[in-house]
Amino acid sequence: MSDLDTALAAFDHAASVPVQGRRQVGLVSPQIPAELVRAADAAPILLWPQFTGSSDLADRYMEYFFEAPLRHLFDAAAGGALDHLDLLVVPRTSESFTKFYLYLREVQRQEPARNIPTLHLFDLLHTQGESVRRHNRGEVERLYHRVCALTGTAPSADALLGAADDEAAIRTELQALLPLRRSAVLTGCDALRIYAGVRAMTPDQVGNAVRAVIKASSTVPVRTGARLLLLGPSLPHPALCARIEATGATIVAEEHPWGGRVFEPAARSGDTLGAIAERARHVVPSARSFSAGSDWIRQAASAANAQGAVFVIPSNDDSYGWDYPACRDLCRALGLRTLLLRPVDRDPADAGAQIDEFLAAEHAA
Amino acid sequence: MNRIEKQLAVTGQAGAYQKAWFADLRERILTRGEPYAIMQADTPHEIFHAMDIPIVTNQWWAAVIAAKQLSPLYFDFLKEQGYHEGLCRYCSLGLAATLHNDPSIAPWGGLPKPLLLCARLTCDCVQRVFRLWGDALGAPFFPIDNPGIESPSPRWWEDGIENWESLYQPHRLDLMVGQLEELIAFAEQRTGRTFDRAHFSRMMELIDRQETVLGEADRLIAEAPKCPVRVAEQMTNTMTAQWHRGTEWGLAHATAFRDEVRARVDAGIAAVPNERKRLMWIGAGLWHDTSFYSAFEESHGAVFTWSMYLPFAFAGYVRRPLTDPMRALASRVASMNEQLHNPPWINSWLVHEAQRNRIDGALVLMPKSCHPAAASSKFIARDLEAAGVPVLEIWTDMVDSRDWDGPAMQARVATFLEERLG
Repeated sequence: MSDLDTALAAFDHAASVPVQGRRQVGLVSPQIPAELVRAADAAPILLWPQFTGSSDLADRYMEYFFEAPLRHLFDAAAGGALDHLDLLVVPRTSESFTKFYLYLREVQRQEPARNIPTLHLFDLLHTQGESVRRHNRGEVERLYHRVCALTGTAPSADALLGAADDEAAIRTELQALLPLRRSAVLTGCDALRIYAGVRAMTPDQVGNAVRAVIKASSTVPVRTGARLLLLGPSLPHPALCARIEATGATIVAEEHPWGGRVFEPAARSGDTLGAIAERARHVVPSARSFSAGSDWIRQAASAANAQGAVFVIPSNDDSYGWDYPACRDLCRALGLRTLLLRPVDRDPADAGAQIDEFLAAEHAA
Repeated sequence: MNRIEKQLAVTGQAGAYQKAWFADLRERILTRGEPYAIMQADTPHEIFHAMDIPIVTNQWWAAVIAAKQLSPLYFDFLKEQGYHEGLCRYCSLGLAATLHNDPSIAPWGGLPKPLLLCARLTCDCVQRVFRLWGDALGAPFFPIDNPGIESPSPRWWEDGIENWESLYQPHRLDLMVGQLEELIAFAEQRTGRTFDRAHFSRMMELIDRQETVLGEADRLIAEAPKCPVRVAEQMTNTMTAQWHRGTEWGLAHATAFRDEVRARVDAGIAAVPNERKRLMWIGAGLWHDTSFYSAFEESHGAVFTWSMYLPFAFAGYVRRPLTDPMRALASRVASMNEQLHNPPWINSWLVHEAQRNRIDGALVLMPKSCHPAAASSKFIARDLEAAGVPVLEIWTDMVDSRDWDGPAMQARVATFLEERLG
């Protein structure tokens, strides 16, 4: 095992250690602010997307347009595999999530014997009017109070502020890794391991682990293949990431909410609940986000001196496809070669030939 | 496509009124250059009616384009531009016509720049379609956000009339009222006109009366021994009245429709005397082939007696008491999506409606490119089958006829009728 692997193992370890002695709150996506759960003295469990597993129950209730990871999660929730969770929080950040929530509730209503965790809809909205801002703040407060009730903790402005500060500290620690990603020392696969582990770590643990990665990286050679942006709403598919990087290319940034974007810093205000709501609305990407991504693409391409962009759009997409032509044209205007992969829902090997051809042309260029 | 005879006099009146309204709308927008709004069908048109701002509804405009057989041209154009084939077609046909930008082909020579575009964010594509459309037309897009409901109680059609405040949840209604007031302020600022609250209240009262009358027509049809009105004419009369809801004409037309239905029921007139099986059409209308609804009458005695448009009028619109008209409107706007597309509301309602209408079999529209319209179909099918109503899925689009094979689909339905309905 290399020094870098050893350093990264700290993140793997954090992601795999079972939680004991605390209430467990499952979060279906990074669009739900974990600091609300921590502030209430419960453990946030981010349910990382799984690309394999059973979907028998999902096939019974869900239509064709639900992605495989959400189908697996539905099976897990409806089949009792998540019964260790005291609460399962689902965000209103896409129609798929909303339907996931309502479908689980309906299964629960029709088949009460099923051991489905208690559900909570985090009804975060993404438009910018004042009434939506008030609603979002109320939703953040409602989730915080619900977890407080679960743990028997009195809601506290100090506890909330402390948890928000911890979250900000973690984001700050992670900023130190950005140069390693942008210079193609760390791979996109490495980054996904880090982002998965961070969710279960304290700021001090993150700081120590980040410093260990930086130290171990000093002897890692810079990868010389193409530097790529991974664009589109697709979920963090480790096999796809590995397949792309096996060619020598490096994913230097990804657009989806399971990657680095969720850790981007945001301005703070005096109102902790309002700031948490606004960050979740504005910074964390989702199917409902209003930013078309052009500013982010421009900034990410420039910061990492990217040479190409791989768009991954799932077969069931009904939203990003409207952004794609403009984003593709922007990438080309920035001098990036572009590749569109769709669909790669289940087996990224299907996309292998396209990736090889694209990167061979990239290399030749 | 075969044209089916119109059996009701009011159907012809609805068509004539709609034609005159269309000509007037065109005159106001194109000739006089009046400010107008492009709106989704499920947005609060009442606000713009109260300000005397004409509106073009996206879905209606799509139907105009489709009627001119332009859908294939425009959808092929979108594909050439890089928009993949899985994207929503129902909501994007108007956008496609604008992007195609050929006045010699487009209806009306293309839509002029509107005052604004407005849509509820009921699916993930809407904000993108309307943002692109607004950019292309050089007009602002006003989105109305769509809060989720946390604990929907199943029998909304009973609770929603008088207990609507608790059913639709006060915090959601606060949000929706806030958004509607923001929309009013935005429209006032853009036009210099004032939102007439007294006129709005009067409109809301007229709507309540109109929907009550439509509810009476619905009960007459459901309870008649044989269906007195084909489903296509139910749709035409209901939707034309709904189009003009809040006007004296809308109420008068609904009343004339109810009265003609009552006269037919009293006289024992059936739309199809040969009626042996009663069918339910679930989903939006099959706008590119409405003759499909009559295709099985002669051969199988199978008659479509139910579609959502008429029964939804009473259950979805009426609010009592109407002491706060804006809040009542907000409750309609907030809930329409859940009622028609989400469990437990849609599946529970359809079982109730199937039983109330003595339905023998149900056909469910499954559009591949419109996820909300296909949502809950498995719950619907399971629950209807459990209630003894066989279900057949119809995989096609409401406005895009490119993948529609009428004879093949009719053969499939015939098999379903023979094998499942006996």
